[in-house]
Amino acid sequence: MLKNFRLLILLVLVLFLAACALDKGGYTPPEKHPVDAELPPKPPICVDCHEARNEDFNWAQYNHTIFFGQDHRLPASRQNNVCSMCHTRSFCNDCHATRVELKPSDKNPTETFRRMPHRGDYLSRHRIDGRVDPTSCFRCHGNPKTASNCARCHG
Amino acid sequence: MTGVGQLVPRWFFCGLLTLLLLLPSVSFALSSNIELEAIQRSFERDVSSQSERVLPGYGFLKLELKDITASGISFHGYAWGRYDITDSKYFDNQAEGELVYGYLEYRKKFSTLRARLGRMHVFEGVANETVDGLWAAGSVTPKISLSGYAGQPVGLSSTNGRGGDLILGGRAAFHGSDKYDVGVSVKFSNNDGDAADRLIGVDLSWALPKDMTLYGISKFNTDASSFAEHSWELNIPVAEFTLKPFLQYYDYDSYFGTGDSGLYPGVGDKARLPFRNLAKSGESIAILGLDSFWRKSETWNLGAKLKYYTYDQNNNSQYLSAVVNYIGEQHTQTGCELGYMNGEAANNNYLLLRLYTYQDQLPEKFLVDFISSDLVYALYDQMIYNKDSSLFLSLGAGKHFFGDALDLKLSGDYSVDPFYTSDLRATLSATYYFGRGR
Repeated sequence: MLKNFRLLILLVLVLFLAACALDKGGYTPPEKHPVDAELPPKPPICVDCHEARNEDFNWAQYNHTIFFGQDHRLPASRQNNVCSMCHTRSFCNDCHATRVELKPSDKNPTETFRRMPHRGDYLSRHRIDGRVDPTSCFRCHGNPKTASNCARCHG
Repeated sequence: MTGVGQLVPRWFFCGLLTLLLLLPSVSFALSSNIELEAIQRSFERDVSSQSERVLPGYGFLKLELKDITASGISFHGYAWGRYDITDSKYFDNQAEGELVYGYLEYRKKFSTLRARLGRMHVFEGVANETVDGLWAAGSVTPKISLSGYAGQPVGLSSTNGRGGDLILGGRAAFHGSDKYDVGVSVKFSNNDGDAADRLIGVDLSWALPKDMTLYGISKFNTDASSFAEHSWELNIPVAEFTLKPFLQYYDYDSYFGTGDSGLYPGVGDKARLPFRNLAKSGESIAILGLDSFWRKSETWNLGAKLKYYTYDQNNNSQYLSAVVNYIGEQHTQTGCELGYMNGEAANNNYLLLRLYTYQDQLPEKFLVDFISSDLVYALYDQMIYNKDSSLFLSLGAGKHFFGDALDLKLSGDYSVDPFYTSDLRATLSATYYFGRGR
């Protein structure tokens, strides 16, 4: 096992070195969204300024429509550096982290505009949601550390 | 702190403190971003059959040091700690803490090359994991990009320590002009030497005529030799409307379980609790849904969501919700959400009503800069602990000081529900942004 691990780390390093050597520079979004674009704090609709898609990118997928807070998983898993153009890592990691004791709606209770899903008496509702679709729980509570809160009752 | 006893978090905390101490001497050359947030909560809970006041205080520190060297190296760190002032025994440990992330990043200028070393959260195709290790990404041609990571999975550290824990994987993507992006990703992880995850994924973003886009991901569990998940969506913009039909499919055996831990043969450590029974259930779920969004104007948005759940063994369920949202200047928003779960699979239904507002465009006569409120009401078809409803009410207010360098926020929450006859909670938070307001 250790041998496999070393080989795979070596492979990652080789791939990285190859990338360094062959760096031909495809499109990558800038580190931060241009300041002079005056991105408002309100939920941005990217296609208000960008084309829905151009040869570099498909911006329409990143429109912050009314359900984007719940449904951004697929575009974020392909190009999360688009997220980091406007959001710091800590913003994402308030929800997407291995262990943050305060659930997001308790850490930011005044940010009601985010319509955070575990708000209110989710303890009661999760009995129903969890039986209807347990995969939605597993996505965030799917490893022993993130499931430690679940194990208090379900253990 | 008790929960920070593991070697790697301690290392990162030491590194974080060292950087803080060094900061004044190097700050002339650095672009830094430091945020310190303190949160004091107050609530009552039954501990050892008597009600006790619980007063946990939380601290969050975010530290970003950019351009540490001229060659594009930066540091990013985020950690939290908690101390229960009353030592109420509500928590397993009076003090707790965790390094959420802490890594050095190398970013080559005018290039796609990036590399990170330390603790980081990795989103790469099939991966959504916190890793202590190395991550690197770059384009080898304008059309082909690669990324890879290797290290130890933080999520598996709580079971028998970190010996035999490892994770590695990556994603290769092909960028086909303005037509499509296709990616292949892998994730391989072990817990205590046993298999935890063996996943291969294919993701696609395919631009169709009329600005439509098909995108999604399929995950294959090589250990179970079957697909764990298919999640695909079609984005259809029609004038100010956006329709998004979607299809999700999960095979429980492949999705919840993999590997063979010895403790739970055929299930694996990853799926221990509370999901291990699902990993042996032979069940599967297909979710057919439709998200619709109507941007009536820049200020008025309407949305509806429909989900239809079908199972291999269970009864079907449906969920329907509608949202109306008003968006004002800055963060001002007011809205209403109504949802109905026809939860045949859960032997229960509920009706959900949510009203919320956040107002930060207040007249100057107000003593605060913003106010917020949230009301969540749920009505259950069947009693839960002799109650058929939940009511949650939250009121909040906040003010900015020193040219927005300091934010003070206060929130009071009240809940009456199947678990609490009358629950009152308070949260006071202070966030200081170093460098702002000068």
